[in-house]
Amino acid sequence: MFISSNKIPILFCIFLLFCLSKSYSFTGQESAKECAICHYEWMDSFIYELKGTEIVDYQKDRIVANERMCFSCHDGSVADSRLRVWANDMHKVGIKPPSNMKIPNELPLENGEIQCRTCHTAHGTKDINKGDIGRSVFLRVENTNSQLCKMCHSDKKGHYNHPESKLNSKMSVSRQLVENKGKLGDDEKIICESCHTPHGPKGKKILLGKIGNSEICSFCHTDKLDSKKQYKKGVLNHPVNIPTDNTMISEVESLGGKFEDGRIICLSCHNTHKGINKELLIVDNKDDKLCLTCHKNKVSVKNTSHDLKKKKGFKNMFGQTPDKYGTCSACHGPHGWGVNLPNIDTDLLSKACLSCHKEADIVGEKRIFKDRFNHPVSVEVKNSQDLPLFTKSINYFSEMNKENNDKFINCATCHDSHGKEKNFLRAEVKNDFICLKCHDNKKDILGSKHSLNDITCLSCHNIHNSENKYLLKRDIKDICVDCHNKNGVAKQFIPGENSHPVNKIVHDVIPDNFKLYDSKIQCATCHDPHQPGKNKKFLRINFSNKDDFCISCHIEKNGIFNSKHHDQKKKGLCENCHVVHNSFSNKYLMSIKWDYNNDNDYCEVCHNTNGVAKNNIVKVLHPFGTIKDKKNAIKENLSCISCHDPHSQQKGKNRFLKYEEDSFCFQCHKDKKEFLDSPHNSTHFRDMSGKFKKENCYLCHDIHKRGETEDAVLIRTCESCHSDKNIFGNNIIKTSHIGMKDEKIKDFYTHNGEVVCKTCHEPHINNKYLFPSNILKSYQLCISCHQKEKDVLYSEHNMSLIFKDKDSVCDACHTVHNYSENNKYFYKKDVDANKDFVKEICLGCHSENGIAKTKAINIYGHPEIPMTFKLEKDLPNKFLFKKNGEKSLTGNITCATCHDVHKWSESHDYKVTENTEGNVLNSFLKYKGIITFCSTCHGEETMLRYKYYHTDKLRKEKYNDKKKRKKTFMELLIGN
Amino acid sequence: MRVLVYIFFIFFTVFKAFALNTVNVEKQYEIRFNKDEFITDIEVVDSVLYVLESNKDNVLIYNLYDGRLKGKKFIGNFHSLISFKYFKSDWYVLSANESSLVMFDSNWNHLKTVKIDAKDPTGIAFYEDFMFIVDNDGQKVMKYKLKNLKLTQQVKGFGFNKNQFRYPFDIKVDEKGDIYVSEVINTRVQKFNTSLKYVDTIGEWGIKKGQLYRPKGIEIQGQNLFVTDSIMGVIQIFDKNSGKFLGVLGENDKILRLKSPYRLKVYNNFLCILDNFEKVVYVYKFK
Repeated sequence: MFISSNKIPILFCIFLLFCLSKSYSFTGQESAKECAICHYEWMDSFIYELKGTEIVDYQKDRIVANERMCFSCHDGSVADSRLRVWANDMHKVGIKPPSNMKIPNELPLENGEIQCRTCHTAHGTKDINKGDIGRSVFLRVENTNSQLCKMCHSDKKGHYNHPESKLNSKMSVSRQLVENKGKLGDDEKIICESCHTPHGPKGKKILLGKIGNSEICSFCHTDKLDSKKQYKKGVLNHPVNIPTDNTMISEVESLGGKFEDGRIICLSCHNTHKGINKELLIVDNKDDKLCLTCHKNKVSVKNTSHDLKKKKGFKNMFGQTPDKYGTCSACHGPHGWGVNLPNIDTDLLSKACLSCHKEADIVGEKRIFKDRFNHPVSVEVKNSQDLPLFTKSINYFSEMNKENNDKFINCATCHDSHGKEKNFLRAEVKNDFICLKCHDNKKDILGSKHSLNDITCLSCHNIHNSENKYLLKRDIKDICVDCHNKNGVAKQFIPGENSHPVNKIVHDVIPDNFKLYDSKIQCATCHDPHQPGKNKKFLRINFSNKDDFCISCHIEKNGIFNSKHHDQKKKGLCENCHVVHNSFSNKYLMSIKWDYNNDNDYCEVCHNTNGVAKNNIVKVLHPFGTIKDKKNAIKENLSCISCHDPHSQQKGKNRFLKYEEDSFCFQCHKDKKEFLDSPHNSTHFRDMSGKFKKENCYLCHDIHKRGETEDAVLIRTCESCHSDKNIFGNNIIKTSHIGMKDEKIKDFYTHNGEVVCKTCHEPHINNKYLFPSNILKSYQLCISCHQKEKDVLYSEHNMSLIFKDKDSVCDACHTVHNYSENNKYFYKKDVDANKDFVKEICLGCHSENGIAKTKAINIYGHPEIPMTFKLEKDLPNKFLFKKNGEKSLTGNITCATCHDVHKWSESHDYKVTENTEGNVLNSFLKYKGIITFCSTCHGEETMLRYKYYHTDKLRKEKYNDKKKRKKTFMELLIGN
Repeated sequence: MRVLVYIFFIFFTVFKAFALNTVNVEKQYEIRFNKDEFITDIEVVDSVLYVLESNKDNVLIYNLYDGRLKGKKFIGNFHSLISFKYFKSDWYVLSANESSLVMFDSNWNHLKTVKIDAKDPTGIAFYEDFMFIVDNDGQKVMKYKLKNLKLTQQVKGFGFNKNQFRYPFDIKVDEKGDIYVSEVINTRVQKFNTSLKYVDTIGEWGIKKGQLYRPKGIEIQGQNLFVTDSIMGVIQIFDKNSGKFLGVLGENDKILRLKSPYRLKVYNNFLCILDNFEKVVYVYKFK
């Protein structure tokens, strides 16, 4: 039973081999695996055999929670923390904590070194209250409000640390903070992990972002830094992330400030964990030490009126007093204005100045009245030379930021609020003409008369609180006259009583070279008091001659050049007649001395027998007077300039007319406008004769008539054309109604009682015969005068009934033009002068070949015997007709002795039918007077003869006997 | 005395039976990366070593023979690229967190990005007209038809048994089309045929030879199956057909110990090993 001692080694070896080959059977592999998967050191070989294996060395020390063990799963092969934890920096591991840092027992070190397990445990977070297991990431202690961090990093206490408070309303959590795994604590408060992360930080000191370019600060301080890490302007925000000089850097670094790449950053002034005060400044700024370390040139503000430490009770918008927070704090807040300003993109600097300078109790007499005129601010200027300009969004420090191409003016352009000069004016502003620094377009004033006798910009202008536009000391209508009066400094240059009008509204557009003021013309319209110009008269534009200057505005007068009114031998065309100041007339500002009483005088001053236009004098003028409107109000006073424009020769055949010739007269004579459509419009026959080219009214009318009377001109004018064979050929008028007199003509125009062309014709009208517009038919015109002959309308002699042409009532027998010179009564057909005129014109129709052949006269009337009358002296003149047709006492008895061709009967009841056989009461017989007339010769036979000749019964018998046709009445009577 | 001689003999015999075979390699050079460079995969094509820089979406290109940097290619804004493979003139890159497959041509011109049905793809391999992808969190291996990238088969499940996985990570295909999948927590390599039918299991839990503690990358060279272990720090060699432990990589007959070997690649006589904890790529030559 006992084993011999010499076998003991053998048994030991067998046991040993068994153990070596079957070691796993002692433990049970899988049950141990779940722990040993991390607790490598618990592998059987290590923990039981205290040795390694063929392929691994003995693992004596625990590596369960060292970085490599964690990484072996978190490298993406089980969990993927590759990039989060191991691609960048991380919380320090594998080192011993600093001696001044106390590590609590709950956070185990590994061999005195910080390892993953110091903060993490795979066994879950202890006592999770508010955070979830996902967020706790197997931390040993919940860290939702940085509890875990603070267990070690308690040394941050005792200083002013970055507040662990909610973001203020101006701030917001930026996208970068979220992307960089930044976290907020309960109630969205700032915690350690809002800025720091133990794994995968982007910046130094395991910060979420870099301190360079103030990136980490920009994650939350979005009110100060934009997404591009540029400091926001317009809020008086101290610039960061801009280069600064090395001297400044070294001085601030000596105070504890930090810089990155030579650039100022948030940490240049702040220390997030070792702030000297709650503003986390690196030094106490009570005496402006921090500000003035860099801004040394601003120390001059001390003890000035802008050092508001002197102003008792003054507080900035944060309620801070300069006494406690420094002089700078009066205007400058930690990151914005110390004064309450609107949060808009505007000229905040000027508004900041005004925030005090509008309050009399703060600035006293330095108050700026908003309702008065002040030098503009926030406007863009092209050049300021030595004076600073600013960006549109003004920030106080933009002077330091020259690359911005700043171009806006504000209070600080002229004022240095930190300076010691009077009124805080910049040194450059001492110059009386400092304004010219910006207003360089006015620099020509220097050396001009407007800069003599101590005159400066401020002689005319007030920079602040002016009551007048353009910052003038007086209204613009008065400011010039203040000096330019007979008692003024410029008394030798006064405009006089008669000057170009000023202070009047100009409705026209004037050239840009000139300037209106509230649409009014003022001295400064033509004159630029800042520009003496070539002629030293301060005229606004440089011009080659004075005429150009006038024409700039009076462009409508441009036509005078090269006209007859332009004496090219003289220089200065306009001033030949006009002068702008001190003229001889208030109207038209005449430069020629004359007794100007009416409008014609302004022409007569030259157009008189002694004037320069003595060869062009008007003897008789178009009627003057007034043109009135329908309400009888004077519409226009007629004068030379009613028709003429002395500055425009081009129109009206170089006659200085206001309108083109063809339409000129019709501007007034609108009732004659029909003329243009009438046959008299010369354009209708211009080609007929060279003399009518472009003539119209002037063809007949001569406005100034050269001394002739109007009517004579009128008659001559008609004749001048209508007798011209070149124009009318054979249609010229040889004979006409003209020259006849008749008292009966009352309603028609006559010349000295005589009929003239105009009596019947209206030359401007558009109808065939140029009859007045109320004459529709030619016979109406005839009977207007020839009332007695009107009865022809009711007779068979109304030829319009025969010819079915209503216009041929009179025209059938008469014509007023071109009748034979031998004819009487405007009889239109030629009559043999050797024959009895009256008989011929009657038998012209009443013959077998005539139109009245049914009443042909076969036996023609009374024998041609001379008559002598005793009784009624005037009676023969009515009944007897000479051979040529004239009524004459010595005339013969003819058709018209007994017949009135225009009157069928006394009655107008007669209705014309064809071939009416009349009786003694009609038949065109002059019944009433003819018996008396006949009885003068025929005595008692009068009635017998009358009946014979006028009774059908007797007459028919004799006349039907052709054999006796040639027998006279006397022969038949004697024979009976 | 005879007894002592006998005991020595027995011990010699036992130790000889347990004697470790080291496959010697000789280091040619190493490429070290900065702290902010996270490397996740390596590939060799035509004697050019390609290195996938995950956090910066770069592909670093080196001459395999001398380690000379030939170039760096930024391939786009992706998140968490984890593995890549060159096949038939195209590059196939897996983006783990985006569950996507990104394809490039041979000059790294982007061709297309395809979403794949995987929670956390970590390995990719090809055989003939098929593509195999390992889904680490999804505990599965998927087989896609390469022509249309259509999922044709998959083997899936979380567990200890065959056809189940606990964090499969890397995948390789041999010349016959057999699939080898390493499992980090199951500490083994499962072998499947081309139809994803289970064939065999290689390796087991432990720290002795032929055992695995934290297996990661695998590679095939002939009959040899190389398996890295990122905690043990060794590369073991198995017979891919029998599963028998063949040996361990060595250097001068000593076990080659690395800090945290991750993926590896055999190219001709070269062996490239990525240690992503140390941020270094070692290039060895087989002796």
